[in-house]
Amino acid sequence: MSDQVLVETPPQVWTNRTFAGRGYPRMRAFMRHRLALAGFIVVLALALIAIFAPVLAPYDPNAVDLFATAQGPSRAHLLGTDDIGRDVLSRVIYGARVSLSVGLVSVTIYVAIGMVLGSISGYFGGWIDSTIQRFTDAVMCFPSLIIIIAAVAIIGPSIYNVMIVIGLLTWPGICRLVRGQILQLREREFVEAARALGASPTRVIFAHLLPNTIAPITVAATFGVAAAILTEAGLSFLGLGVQPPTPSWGNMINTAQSAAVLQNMPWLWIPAGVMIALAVLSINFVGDGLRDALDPRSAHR
Amino acid sequence: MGRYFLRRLVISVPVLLFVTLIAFTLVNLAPGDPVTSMINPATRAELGPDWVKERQAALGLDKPIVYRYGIWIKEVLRGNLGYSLIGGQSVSGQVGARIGPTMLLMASAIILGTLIGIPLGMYSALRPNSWPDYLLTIFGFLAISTPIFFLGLAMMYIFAVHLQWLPTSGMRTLGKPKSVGDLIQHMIMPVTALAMIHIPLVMRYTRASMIEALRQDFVTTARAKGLREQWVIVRHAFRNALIPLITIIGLSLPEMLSGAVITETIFQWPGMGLLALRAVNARDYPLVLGVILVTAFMVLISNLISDLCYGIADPRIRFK
Repeated sequence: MSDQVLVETPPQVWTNRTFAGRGYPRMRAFMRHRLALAGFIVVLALALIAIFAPVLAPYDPNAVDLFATAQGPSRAHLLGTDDIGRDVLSRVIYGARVSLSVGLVSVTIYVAIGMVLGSISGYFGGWIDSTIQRFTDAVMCFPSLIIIIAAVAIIGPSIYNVMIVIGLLTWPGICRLVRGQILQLREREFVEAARALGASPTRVIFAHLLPNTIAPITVAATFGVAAAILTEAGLSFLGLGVQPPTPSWGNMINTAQSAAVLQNMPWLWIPAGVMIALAVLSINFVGDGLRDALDPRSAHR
Repeated sequence: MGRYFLRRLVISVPVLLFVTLIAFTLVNLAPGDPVTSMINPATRAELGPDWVKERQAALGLDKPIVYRYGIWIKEVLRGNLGYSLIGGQSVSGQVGARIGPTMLLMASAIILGTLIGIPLGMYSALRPNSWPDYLLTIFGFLAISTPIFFLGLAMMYIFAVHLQWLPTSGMRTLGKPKSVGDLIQHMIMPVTALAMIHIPLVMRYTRASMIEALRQDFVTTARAKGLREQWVIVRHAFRNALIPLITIIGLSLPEMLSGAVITETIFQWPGMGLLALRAVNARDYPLVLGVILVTAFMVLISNLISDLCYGIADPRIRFK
């Protein structure tokens, strides 16, 4: 990177200064934000690719060309074609739509559930709180992928069902986060003031408490989008997510489970895998940058 | 100590109740019932609707769902998880046969991940905000962002297909006598793939926990006494930094089990993940329910154990 950064590299001497963790916070913050910025640009680019997929894709992603099956990358097909002659690049471009929409929709569903349950739990306390908390503990006991594949198998695999199932089964994290925040906030004067003015619990929760939890929720939701994209990819890889012929990065890699594809047609699965990793990594970088920006305590660690 | 553990134990009773309730509800949402799904529609038409009702009554399917839940719980408590729709083997027997390989895979991945993650986290914590720390942070992000199936396939492509150093799948080489060396060869890739879930988690926690420990007053005291820096780090800071790490295994187990489904599928490892996937694909609901229940139970138990260990290692926890 730039010279300035190299100059700031701490000396490799074990001094108390480095041990205390106060060393060179600026460099870390700077690099972090640089990563967040790079991540944001990539996410933005992916969003544009998803939106303008029909314009950008050189071919129809589902167009079968039996004269050009299983071809390696060439000028006509930059990432080659699959075993029935569909253009891989076009399918990768359309795959961005699936990943991003599953990420956004499922996180919206579970943030809503988590916020409602978490605020009820934190605000009312008592047996309501302990019941909701034990229920949350129970949901967290299930390994997410195992219960999600079971649920998807029962209600049928499709992109909408994947969104719904991820949304319905991954809210406990948000629920705990919101509950913790509300527990701290509800003792504050402004809440007391609102109550004294005769505000109903619903009004106190939605107008006074929840707006104050937006920052940590935004951070958690960003990481959540990344996790949901990984889950969708995993489900589609296992054949229980987005169903062919709709292209998704996960179901494109599914074909590599056959030894012939794995060995002889790497262009079929490597681009999709790289795209998943790139999308998830970028979103995680954005989340990390947001955390530093929104949570003053973690900023200079 | 006894009271602390008793409290944890009492709390997990309603959790277990909710776990069974969720699993039972989920599987009962499945379309169709055992009678109509097991009998050929033509035969069923011949036998008439009365016969179907009779069979349903015999299986208790005409009872309200709450009542059926009661019967089911009673059987589960006796260790009877029901019978597979396909083949009719007992679910507990099938799950039992698969637990061993999954445990072997996960235990190896957890041990490997911990052994790699702790030194890396320590290294970062001792030089916070340096280039190595920065690179390790990026590595951590890469590890959590790369889908485990892509990593697994890439390893298989490189090490099994091209270099042919390692076997592609399974737990043993067919036709060869059982040997530990052969088993280890089959384990290398799945364990590495699975350990990639654990390493970043351990690394991040070690780093944070070590930085926190180095800020504590007792470290300042130890330094003020004139102890050598290495001694302060190893005997004072590191020991205390390790305590919160106990909870990590309990925390990462659900994710490891999720990862096991994919790892076992790629490498055809004969464990519970592969069993779960086969059950789901065959719509074998009693088996699905069995796997869900057993894995959730494993997570619950491991959470209890890590709570217990935490309580032993850090007495302050017991009085919170």
